[in-house]
Amino acid sequence: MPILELRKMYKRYGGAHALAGVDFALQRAEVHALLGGNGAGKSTLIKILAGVERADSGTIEIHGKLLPARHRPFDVFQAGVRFVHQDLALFDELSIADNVALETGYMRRHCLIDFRGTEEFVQRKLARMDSKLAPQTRVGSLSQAEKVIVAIARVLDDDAHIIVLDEVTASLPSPEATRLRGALQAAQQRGVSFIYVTHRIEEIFGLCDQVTVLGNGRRIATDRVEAIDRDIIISWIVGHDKNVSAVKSVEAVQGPERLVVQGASGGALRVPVSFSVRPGEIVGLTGLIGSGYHELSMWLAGLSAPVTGSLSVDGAPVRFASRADFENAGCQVVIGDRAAAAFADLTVRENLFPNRVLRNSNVILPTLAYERKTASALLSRHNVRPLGCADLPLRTLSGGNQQKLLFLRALERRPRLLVLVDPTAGVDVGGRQELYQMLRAQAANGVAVILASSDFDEVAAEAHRALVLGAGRLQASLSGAELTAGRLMVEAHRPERAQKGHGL
Amino acid sequence: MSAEPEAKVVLTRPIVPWGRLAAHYGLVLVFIIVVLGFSLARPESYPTLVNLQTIASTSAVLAILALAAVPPLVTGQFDLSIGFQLALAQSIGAALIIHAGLSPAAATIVVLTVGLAIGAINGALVAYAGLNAFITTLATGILLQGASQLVTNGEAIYGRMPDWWLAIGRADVVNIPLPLVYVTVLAAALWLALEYTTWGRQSLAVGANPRAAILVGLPVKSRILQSFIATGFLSAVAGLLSVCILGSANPNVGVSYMLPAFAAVFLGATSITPGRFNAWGTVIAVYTLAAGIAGLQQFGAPFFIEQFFNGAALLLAIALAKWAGRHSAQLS
Repeated sequence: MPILELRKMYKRYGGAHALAGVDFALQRAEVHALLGGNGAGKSTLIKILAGVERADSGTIEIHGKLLPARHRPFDVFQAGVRFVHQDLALFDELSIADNVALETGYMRRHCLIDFRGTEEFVQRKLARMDSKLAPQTRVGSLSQAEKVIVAIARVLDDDAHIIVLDEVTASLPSPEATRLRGALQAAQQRGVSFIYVTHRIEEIFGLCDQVTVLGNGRRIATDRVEAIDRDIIISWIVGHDKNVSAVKSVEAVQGPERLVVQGASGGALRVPVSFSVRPGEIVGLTGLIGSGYHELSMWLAGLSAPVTGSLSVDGAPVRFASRADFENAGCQVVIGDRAAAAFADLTVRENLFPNRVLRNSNVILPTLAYERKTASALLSRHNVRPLGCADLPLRTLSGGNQQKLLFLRALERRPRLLVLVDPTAGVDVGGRQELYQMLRAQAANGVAVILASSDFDEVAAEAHRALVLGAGRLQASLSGAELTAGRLMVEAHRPERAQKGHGL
Repeated sequence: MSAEPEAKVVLTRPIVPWGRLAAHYGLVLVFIIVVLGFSLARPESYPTLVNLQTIASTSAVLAILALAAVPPLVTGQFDLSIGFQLALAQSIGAALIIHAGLSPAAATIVVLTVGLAIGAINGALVAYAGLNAFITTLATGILLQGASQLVTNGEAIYGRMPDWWLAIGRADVVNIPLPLVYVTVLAAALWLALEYTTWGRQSLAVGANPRAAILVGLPVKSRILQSFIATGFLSAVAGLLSVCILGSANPNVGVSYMLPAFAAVFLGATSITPGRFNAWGTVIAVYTLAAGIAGLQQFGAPFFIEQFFNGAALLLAIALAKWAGRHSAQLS
């Protein structure tokens, strides 16, 4: 009998099904991988289990006991479920003992902190995971796997039976995964079960016993990890609908190359990459976390510089990491990380024109009337909500509308080259379609576009050509009928020079 | 408005936006209430021309110094040395005129040059050397106080100054004291520069989000440098005006000017353009505090009432602003 069972979970956001009847069962003392791409429903399912989101319908049973329909995080805690989230919430500057004790409480002696007692207490906790780390060690000096172990030890009290690890190993190299494996096994022997949420297929081999694959809000398959391999999982995730390539008009692609990148390497990207983009062309850039795709997109955004390589726009050299050079060359950037891109406390109008005040040169008196009029016209033409928001602080807009504004900010400066880095992060489905339309219109007008995105569906649907990075090199360049989300996924997951089998 | 179930704030806007008016012009209202209240309570001594002129001119130096604090705050920095910059300007100005017998015009040029140079040094240390603004200007502020004591030998400076020079600080046009005119002109200039020019827009953006400012290609470092230079200039002007008004100099006035100036700036940021450091809000804050203190003193309040009044007003204002912010956050 499973110790955790979710039955027929449904959840809608607006018109879209995030979960469409998902079943999930966790057995005692197993490590169960929950796998799926962006928007598959993994995080919605976990949020519902945690009690931070409510399901539209469905039941959750823990130890055969039904959770109340509108359960709170505390109900789940009492039932023995613990969560370790992606950022681990550890303080690098503090010791392991302090990190654990800040959560669980310090040992006391005569009202004062008993440091030795606390350290012994933390050591016992670590021993449950078969870890011999010294409690005095500073967390900042630990490896990623060791940090995960500390984060698990922190929540692993006597009542904890189920631990959810939510994308905790975003960049875990293989030898470290082995160490984590030992720690999980030690806890397993004490009867603890794990749900291991990840989007990285390679990770689950050797780490997990069971795997459930989600896609489009449905459960696609559940199987024993021993019984399957990487290709089977990819075929589950890809399904058949992801192998259809989108039809795109490429007549717009014209003229000589606008952007030429030669021999760029650095960071995770060990093998130099060269490519070019022509006016009217949308070139996708994608890969898994740690593949070097993020570094490359930052270089192209003018925010950092590679170790080697050169860049030119319309034949003229442009220095890396010089936003001024990029501006002069007509390169505009839209990044999805709004904390780094938007002026949240300034008004929508000021966000549109952060570099200058728009003036009608015939008017001598200082007035913002012309700028207001221009901004309002632009906002209503592109349907930015709420209506008449030009003088509201940007932060009062929804994520999708904020992102649309950042698009408009870039387009308003008439770019020749548009670099988009995860431009639809945190934007709902409807908002995405509007952004894609703006993007296509720009390309049709002869703007060269780079679409750097970790969303394979997005790249497959919007790009004329896609570059896939993986294992520190350019893995593939796909276009036409080859450019499908499924093929992008296969290329992105292609293991390092194939000699290691599953890669772990 | 908080009862609105939907986020469509703008669509259901009332005909008279009382909430918006209160948020933007609340401080103006408080100013009017303070002046009217004391006028009704003390009709024989408070609403007199002499009293109002005194309030207007004695607070002018503070108002200009408060304006001096604004530009670095706009670019996301902090200049703790404004009070000491004022003290040095005062000391150098008075020493050159009284001890060295220099003409006030020449002294003005020297003082303004020194002010700009101090601003440039502060700005370069923060923007280009990347030092923490708070600590840097604390350090330069202490150095400046030492410099003031060096110039004056640690003592107050008294002596004869030309009448035309003193008139700059003491005369009035149609009963309006000249210092109030200077405050108005400088506040208007700073307001125009920040709200209506490209320089101001870029400075605001740099302060609002430096990472995004870099992303859109703004000259972040040079805007920060320039904000400190503006502070140096305005502090020197405040120091010179204080020499005209007082006819003397005291090297140790730095701290006593600095605290009320910052109180006024932060109080002013809750008004006119709430949440944003601004020139008019700052000036209104200075005069609201001054009008209140003057009134209380007419009721025989002791001298230290000033500190209690300034501190309490600032706490109350930021608490109200926080509450109003939370209130409006619920709407969206």
